[in-house]
Amino acid sequence: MPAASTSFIGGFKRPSVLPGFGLTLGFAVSYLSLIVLLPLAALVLRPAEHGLAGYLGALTDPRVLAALRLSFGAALIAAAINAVFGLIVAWILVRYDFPLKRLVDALVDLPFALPTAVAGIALATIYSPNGWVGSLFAPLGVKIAFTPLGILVALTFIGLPFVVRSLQPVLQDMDREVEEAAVSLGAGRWLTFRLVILPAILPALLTGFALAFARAVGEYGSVIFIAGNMPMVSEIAPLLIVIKLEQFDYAGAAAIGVVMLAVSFVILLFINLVQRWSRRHEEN
Amino acid sequence: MTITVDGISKSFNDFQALKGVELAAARGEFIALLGPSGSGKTTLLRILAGLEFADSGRLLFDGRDVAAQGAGERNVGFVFQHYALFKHMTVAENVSFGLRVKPRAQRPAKAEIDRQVNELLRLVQLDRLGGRYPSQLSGGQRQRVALARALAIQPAVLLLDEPFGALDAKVRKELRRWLRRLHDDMQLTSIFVTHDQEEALELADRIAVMREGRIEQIGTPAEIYHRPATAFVYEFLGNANRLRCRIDRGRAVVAGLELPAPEYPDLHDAAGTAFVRPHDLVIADARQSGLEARVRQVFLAGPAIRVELALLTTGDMLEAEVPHGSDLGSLIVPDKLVTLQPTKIRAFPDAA
Repeated sequence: MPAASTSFIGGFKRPSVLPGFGLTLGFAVSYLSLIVLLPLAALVLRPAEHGLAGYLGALTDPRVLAALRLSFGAALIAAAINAVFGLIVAWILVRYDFPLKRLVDALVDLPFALPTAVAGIALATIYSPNGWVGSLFAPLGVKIAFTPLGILVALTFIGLPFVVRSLQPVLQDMDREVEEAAVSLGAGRWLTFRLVILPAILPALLTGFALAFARAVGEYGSVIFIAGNMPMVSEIAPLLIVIKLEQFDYAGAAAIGVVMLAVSFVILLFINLVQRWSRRHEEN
Repeated sequence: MTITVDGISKSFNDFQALKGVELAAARGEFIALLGPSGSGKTTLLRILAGLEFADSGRLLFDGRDVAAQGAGERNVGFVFQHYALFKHMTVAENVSFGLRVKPRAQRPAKAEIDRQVNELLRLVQLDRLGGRYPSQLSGGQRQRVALARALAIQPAVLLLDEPFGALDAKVRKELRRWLRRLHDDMQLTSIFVTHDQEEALELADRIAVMREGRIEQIGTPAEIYHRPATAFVYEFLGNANRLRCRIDRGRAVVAGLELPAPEYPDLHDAAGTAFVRPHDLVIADARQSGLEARVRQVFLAGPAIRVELALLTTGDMLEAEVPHGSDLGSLIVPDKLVTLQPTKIRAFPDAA
């Protein structure tokens, strides 16, 4: 073995002009352990106290299953809606100049800043059958507030900024000449978008989608005011956790938490893999 | 294809980029648009491609007015300065793009597309790199991919915006010759934009020198170089020394020295500027007649010895070139007093 070598054979450390690898890696790992892994470990271990049976018992409850289905289903749909409309909002903010553009740009961040309960109450008021928007839908027989539809509205509201803010810098950096090249080669608007623009922004769009989804899964404050919270119909998983806690069923609450964690992790991992695939051209 | 540009003007907000440009390109011609930045050359090229639209004037391809046609309908190959390759597509996918986006009825079968792409990649000498992504290529290779992509739609016109601007000197020279051969072999009509006079002189059949939205002069490289129509063209086409002069009945008088200016037999004692190229300035010892000057600096590296001199009368700095191995060694040392004899000048009267 060659002496005086700073590289670990088969390892990851190589001499580098950029200092501080060891220090920053050590810090990052301990920080993540403390802030993220430790609480998660506690969460996973809690229901284990009651054995596997307790776990399964909590998870085969139809009310729990309905809540999980609703939470993940609504979060996915809301993130998808945000991906489409967030893209349009980001597009006009980057590509065009119009009066009050700065104001519109600032409005996008409001769902970030607003306390979630305030958002929930405001949305419930507007979308209730005698609210501004709800009264327009009521004659059509469509109820929005206090139904799963209302949950979708709230989750869409809170997720919008993630998509817009993920896409904006990427759209800003996009080379206009690339689009002109596509047009001069005979591609129409739709083909230029589908073949040239969309693949270029797809990684950022997926990031926005994943963030909006993750936020929507965990959202509590705004949803409980508009959802109506009827078991089996419009009761979200985070609410069920709170209910179980109030009944001192800590293991049951933790079991739902663990399932949410696992499902979220799998979905986010999947999005990450798609993202990596869409970035394959960047590898050298 | 013949191209006729007839009185085209274009403004961006307050800035008038083109002011009634006239230009005609014959079939098979290779034309250079040469000018400094801001002269409107790229705007003109983009109007030809349909990426920009003229405010007024007519644009004819083979006598047909194409002003209303979009970029995609003009069958024009456009090569962008920074290549504008599709980063997420492989080289082969980039090249085949123009074929793949054709309407279904005109689109060749997949096997035919593959065949054409392979042929084009061979043409641009990249046949082994079809599966690479643009980020894995060198600048010269990217430029050739951009060319192959533009040629895939079998354009009758090839437009190139500063095609060699981002490449290093050696690659640039190789690509230049190669492009000229390609143009001749494929019988294209090509127009390219450049600010590099050497490139224009070497590559083009004719050069249009542009200045502030107008074509200042158009002609063969020899015409442009040896008979520049204006002071601007003269200065743009190579190093030039300026000397204040009086132009009088076919002679230019520079600091007491009379030089021929046969272009102006009728001017009487008009103020003007005489231009001399560095290689047309002969250095002699101080006893000879000529312009008195003092040597300032001598640069020995390069294809010729460059000598910087200051005129005694005005203090103006001049540059002269002396071939290596000349017997002037004792004269071209700093602070030496010498005389300068211009062998060839070109005088222009001041604009009224």
